[in-house]
Amino acid sequence: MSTLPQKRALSRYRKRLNQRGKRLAGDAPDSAQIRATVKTRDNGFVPYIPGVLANTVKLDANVNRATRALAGDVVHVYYEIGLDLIGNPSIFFKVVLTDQASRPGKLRDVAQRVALKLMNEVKTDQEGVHAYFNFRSRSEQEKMKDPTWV
Amino acid sequence: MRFPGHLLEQASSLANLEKGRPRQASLRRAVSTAYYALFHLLTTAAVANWKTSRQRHALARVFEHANMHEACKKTNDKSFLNPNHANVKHLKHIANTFMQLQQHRHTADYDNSKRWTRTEVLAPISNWHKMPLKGG
Repeated sequence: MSTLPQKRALSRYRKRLNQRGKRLAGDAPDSAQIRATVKTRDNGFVPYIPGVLANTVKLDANVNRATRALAGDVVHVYYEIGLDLIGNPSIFFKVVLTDQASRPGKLRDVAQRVALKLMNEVKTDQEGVHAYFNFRSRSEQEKMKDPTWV
Repeated sequence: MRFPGHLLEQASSLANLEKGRPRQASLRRAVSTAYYALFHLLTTAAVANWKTSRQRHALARVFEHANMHEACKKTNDKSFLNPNHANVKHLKHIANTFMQLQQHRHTADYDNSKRWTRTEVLAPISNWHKMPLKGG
């Protein structure tokens, strides 16, 4: 019985022949010959990367659009792509807020508004990607000089 | 539900413990405590109607962090049919806050390379501090 990679190799071979307008003729290798030459690989674990994270140009554009719309409260938005503690593909936003927006009385509302805007622009929910947020004030960021936020 | 409330108060106190530059230990414990405040609130609420009251604490021990994370993710991603929009928004807000805090807690407890700031800690705490928890 042929394995899946072998069947795929045979299918690809036949497709190539058809594209060239040739018929499968007697001189074409049979499936047993192809099976002998196909090397199987271990594809037991193939990481899945959602489209929204793979298209980094579009992702950058969406994040920049959100940042511009939030310019009154947001200084800069960095992001990283990775897996969360459960292993789900996720996007980790690092948001630098203005000192005004970081005040305790405003922080909750600003943080919720920024998170909602970024999630809507990047369409995280529709793509099955979870977004995580960290917020810092501008003065904190300047004091920290944290290379992971640059 | 006094215990979760007290944990949340403790988290806020820890985040604001030092007047000037906060210690990393205080901030990291604040994040962890805020997460456990929400964790215990949810597990306590979930078993509150269990008929045999003496079994409730034991039943609350059954809840696992990873399973709760998955349940919250499913809730967050779910499209509800004929939804009561206010309830759905409320439910998703709780689910999302739980996931955020759990991820933060994991980093705070295990990642020594991470430097926390007060704003980073207060943002998730304030997010659930004013959460309109029904029956809480």
